[in-house]
Amino acid sequence: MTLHDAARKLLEEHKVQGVLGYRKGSLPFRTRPYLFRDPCEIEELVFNPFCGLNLARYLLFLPQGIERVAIVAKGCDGRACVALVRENRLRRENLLILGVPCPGMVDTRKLAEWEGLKEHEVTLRGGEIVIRGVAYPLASFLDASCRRCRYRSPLVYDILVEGGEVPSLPQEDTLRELRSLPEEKRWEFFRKELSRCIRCYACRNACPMCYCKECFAESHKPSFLHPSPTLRDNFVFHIGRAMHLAGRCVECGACERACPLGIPIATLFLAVSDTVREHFAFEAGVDVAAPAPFVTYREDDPNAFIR
Amino acid sequence: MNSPWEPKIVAFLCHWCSYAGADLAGVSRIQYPPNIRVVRVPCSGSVDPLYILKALREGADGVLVSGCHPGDCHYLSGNYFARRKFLVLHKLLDLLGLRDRVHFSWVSASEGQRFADVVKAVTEVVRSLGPNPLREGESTCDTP
Amino acid sequence: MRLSGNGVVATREAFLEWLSRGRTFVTETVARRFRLPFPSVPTPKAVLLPQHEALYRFFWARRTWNVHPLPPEGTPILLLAAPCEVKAVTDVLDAVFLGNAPQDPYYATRRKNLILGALGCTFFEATCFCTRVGGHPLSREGADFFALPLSSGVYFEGEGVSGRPLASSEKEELEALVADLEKTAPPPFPEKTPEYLYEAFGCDIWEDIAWGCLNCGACTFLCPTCFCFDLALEGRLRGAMIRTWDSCMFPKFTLHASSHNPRSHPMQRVRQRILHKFSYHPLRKGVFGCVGCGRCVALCPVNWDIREAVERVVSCAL
Repeated sequence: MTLHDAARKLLEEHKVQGVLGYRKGSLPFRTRPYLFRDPCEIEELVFNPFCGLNLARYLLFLPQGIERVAIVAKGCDGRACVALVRENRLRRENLLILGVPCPGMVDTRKLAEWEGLKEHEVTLRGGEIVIRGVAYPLASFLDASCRRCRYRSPLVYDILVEGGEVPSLPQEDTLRELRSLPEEKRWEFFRKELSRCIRCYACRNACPMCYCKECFAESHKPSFLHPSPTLRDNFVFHIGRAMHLAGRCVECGACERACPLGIPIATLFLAVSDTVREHFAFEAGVDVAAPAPFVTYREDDPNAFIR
Repeated sequence: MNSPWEPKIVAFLCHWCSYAGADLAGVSRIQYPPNIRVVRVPCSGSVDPLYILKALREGADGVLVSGCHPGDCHYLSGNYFARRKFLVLHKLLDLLGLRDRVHFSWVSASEGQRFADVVKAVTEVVRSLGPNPLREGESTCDTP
Repeated sequence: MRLSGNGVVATREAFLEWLSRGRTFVTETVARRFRLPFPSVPTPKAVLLPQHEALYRFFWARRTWNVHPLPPEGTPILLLAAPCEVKAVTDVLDAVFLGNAPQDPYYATRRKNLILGALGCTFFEATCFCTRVGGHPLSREGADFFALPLSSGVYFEGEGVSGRPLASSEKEELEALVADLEKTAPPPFPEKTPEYLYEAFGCDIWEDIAWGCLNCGACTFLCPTCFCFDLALEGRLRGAMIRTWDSCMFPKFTLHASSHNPRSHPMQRVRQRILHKFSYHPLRKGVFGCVGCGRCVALCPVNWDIREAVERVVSCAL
């Protein structure tokens, strides 16, 4: 079944009150989230390589009267759904996951060099992206989280739509280059990037796993940081958030795509996810039943870093 | 004003082991560098990584977190949970190039000498790193 | 006021040479469109009202509080901005910080030392909508000088740059540009938009409009006119009073000390942003609080488009 047929059928048969999906935006290559409630609207539903937002974010802010909702989920949205169900933010029975295989999300900023590019001038063909008739490797247009993605199709789904061809992209270790730099160079990189942050909190608000009622960044009592975007306050915000997302980050990269300044902020979260995967054998949003890595421990956890 | 720079290190010490270890170092008159500022906490498991980040933000040049040896926690498993959090923070700060600003140790109540050694070692490492790089551009808060 | 046509044409080199005499900056919009060898600032707002600045320093000594004001340095700065960004300064920021007594001394000092030049736009980007809110891509209103790149050099209105009068071919080029812009200009919002929006406060369309917005502060922080700020102390026994930008999109923006929050719901905050720019500000000051630069549209993480929102509310009120 195609995505449109599946979504329309769900609404027509009143299986769900809404379908959370993407719709064409007001600018070329941009899509926006939309809650489809009327089967007639479904023809406006799109799914293309420019749907970088994580829709699971919106599951926590559904309008009143929506009990059961279907969500168009690529691999990472699906992982976010699982993680939210695991954290008791959602009830699985109220959620219908419409899985779509994901080709990887193109970073629209990388298309800026082509002036006046129209949507029809860009097509995807296997592992390549064709822009005005010239083919480029798709991987160079994806951001770090997509280049290293392990789960392009949702692991947990109710309906898996057909038609979406997933190019078999090699899984890159996007942090390898950074890790190979000497210590001072790494700090130089992060010092520069963290200083650029204007603390608009777009990264946090785009994150499906950041749902705290009161964020530590805005808390006054206790106060952990000052609202001015200085290096040290940005440091506490981003590292603090990375710690909060340890074992919870679903590696979707929505934060990085949301950042209006293009700061590669997902780097921090991907690094934290790597640590959790490597040492605690845990991946967020993969298994509903696995215990969270920080509510459990092993006596033989790494100890060498402690004096 | 003109005295040479000395590192300031915030030490979060667990009440049951490391704080008592520090106490023992004191009553045993074991000398160690006066660069640490101790914050007593109930358990190393109660040290939120945000405390560590906040200490760095407020200008500490280094942070030391110390608790009971694995298996000795007064609350049975607090330090095991802490170890997991600290590992993630340690690896993350390592990526940022700030690994040696934050140190962790296990010091029991009977290890006065060990406590002094840990403080000595940490102070030397932090001293070799120089002042906290997060303090750049901070001038408005210093007394004239 | 549009182009007077009595400016001069200078060579690009002469123009750049003149610009390089002082501390010159360009806005990001200008930097993106024209490759100029100057450092860029996000918007003129970032110069006049920095995202964070210490207003005074304090410390407790000899059993009393010592307070030292920290007035801004009075260094003259030359800033080349797009006409919409110039309008943001003259129509909105000046009206807010200098329009009523007491004036903001920090802003006033910076403003006095700012030479603001407008660099005309030769086309509309997909996100541009200055003509919808009373602006024009070739407006020199409020700017200390106006420049426009032509094929043969730089058209310049103002003092400082010498050149030759416009040749007839250049006059034609200018006229063709004006005609071309006229054709592609987005049409203005209806005349009574502020009143319509004011009436639409209780409309039930707002929930629907606000849905999708993440309530982050990207739009307000990148906006050249958003001027809301917060004062926060840094330090206890010694420290500074720091003024930082604040955003009506943040839940704590209107949080009262009593813990009551009159705008606790995201929809209310989105409504506030639209109504402040398109209703309250114009009703009080006579001009829109939005200059149509389109930065919020271009950089919104979810492509939430303020133009569509205003259109929808207007159509709801009609």
